Amino acid sequence: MARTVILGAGIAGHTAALHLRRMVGKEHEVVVVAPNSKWNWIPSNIWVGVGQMTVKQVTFPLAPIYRRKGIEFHQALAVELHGEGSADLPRPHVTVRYTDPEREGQVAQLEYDYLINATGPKLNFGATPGLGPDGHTWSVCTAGHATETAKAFEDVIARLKGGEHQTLLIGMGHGTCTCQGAAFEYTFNVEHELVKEGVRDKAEIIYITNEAQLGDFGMDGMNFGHKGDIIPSQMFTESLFQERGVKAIMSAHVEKVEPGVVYYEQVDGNKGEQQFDFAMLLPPFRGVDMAAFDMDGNDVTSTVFAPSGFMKVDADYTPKPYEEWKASDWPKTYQSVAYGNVWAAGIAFAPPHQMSRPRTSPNGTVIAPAPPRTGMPSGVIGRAVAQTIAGRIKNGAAGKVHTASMADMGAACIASAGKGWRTGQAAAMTVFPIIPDKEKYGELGRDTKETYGEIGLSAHWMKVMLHYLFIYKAKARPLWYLIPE
Amino acid sequence: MSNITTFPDARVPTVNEVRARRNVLIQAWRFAILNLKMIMMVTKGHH
Repeated sequence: MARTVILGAGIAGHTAALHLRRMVGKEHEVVVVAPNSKWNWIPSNIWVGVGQMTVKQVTFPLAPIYRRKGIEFHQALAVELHGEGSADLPRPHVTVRYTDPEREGQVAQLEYDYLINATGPKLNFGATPGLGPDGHTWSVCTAGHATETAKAFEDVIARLKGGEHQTLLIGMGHGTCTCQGAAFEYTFNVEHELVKEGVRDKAEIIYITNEAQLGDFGMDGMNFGHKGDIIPSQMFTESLFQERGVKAIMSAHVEKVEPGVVYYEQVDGNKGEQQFDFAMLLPPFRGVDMAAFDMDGNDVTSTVFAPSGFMKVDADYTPKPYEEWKASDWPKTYQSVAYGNVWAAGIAFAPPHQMSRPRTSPNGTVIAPAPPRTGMPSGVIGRAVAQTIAGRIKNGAAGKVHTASMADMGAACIASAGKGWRTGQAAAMTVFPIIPDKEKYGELGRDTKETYGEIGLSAHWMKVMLHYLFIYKAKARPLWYLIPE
Repeated sequence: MSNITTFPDARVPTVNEVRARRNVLIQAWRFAILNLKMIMMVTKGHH
């Protein structure tokens, strides 16, 4: 009998748990530890944030699904990793602190034979003073945040209807943020709603970003193949900004936020401030604050985790200049550098470097979009790790090692630009591979036949379809496993 | 001081392109194409 503990129930963790449960017999235990009681289809939080969906439409309770599938669920936060065991408990284990109302604050040790760290990101609002719902800006990172944001946005619309002018600032709350796509989506959903409400002319929308060019998306941009031509994502994105009358503050690191004003520095060293009536700024991510200890109780956190808090896996972390970065630096198996029975899936693994060229201002401020690894790659990695563990459980060390390098994987991103069956718009983008590989695909780094972008109503329908499809899958409804990640 | 960028040189879609983006019949066809592209992408990326 083998016991696999999965930390996290987001896209990577939940996908891994469902697949592993399906792949191994009932005599083997699958245990999920997650601090939240509900699963959240995060891409649709954008629509919650403009009042077009409710929390109930984008979340569902995890416990009934896990009960039905025979997965043990602990609503708890993992705080310590004892990969070699400890003096009082010699088997490898994690220390967890419960977050469910009945056991809140209680601590337990959960033993494992195999461990998947799929803890996702810590939303690091603290990196920028005044950032976040506890400060002076809104967020759509969680369904709860998005609901609060929707109420604030409703107030903005009311003020606009009352004849007031309003400035809406949307984007990245720090120079090292990722998920530019989410801020992009929120920007254009806000714009779409303002048009619908007939108040667009009274509102100024400003996008603030750490990207050097629009369309970078933390991926060094993309080059879309289109009828024999190449269309850079910069051109594609700037076109939408111009069409919709959205302005931008580029290459910016937000230093602090005070009520109604952000202070920022740009990569050329210029400092600026921007007044706002409403701001939705995303936080940077870091790994969750989990500490690691060896058998003797010595702190080995810096061996197991990168300084960013993400887990070090089979990547090449050797520091090197941007020009020397290679696709092969990126991990394939996601196995921990410290333990042979631990893997990190989804956002929880430490990337070897950024994809976009990191920049530093003359004042030494790092303005470097972090690489995105949410959504599709998270799911694919979660499944590959589950397959590897299932192989180990069935065949021991001879079990097949499954790989899921982001340098061999494509991704699709549907960025909503407004909701509505007849009036909706979205930008559908595919990219292959996610990590540019100049050795394989030449200077552009990607296959331009597979890297593609299109704006239209059809992309909005696809976004809606994916919403229902992935929630169906996450609920483990009949034949869920046929739906790809 | 403000450092706001606008994109006056960006190519904006023509009236016909905007219509095509909203035309239900054209978009139903694009929806089918998009699905095919996504399926090919997924197939290629899943090992």
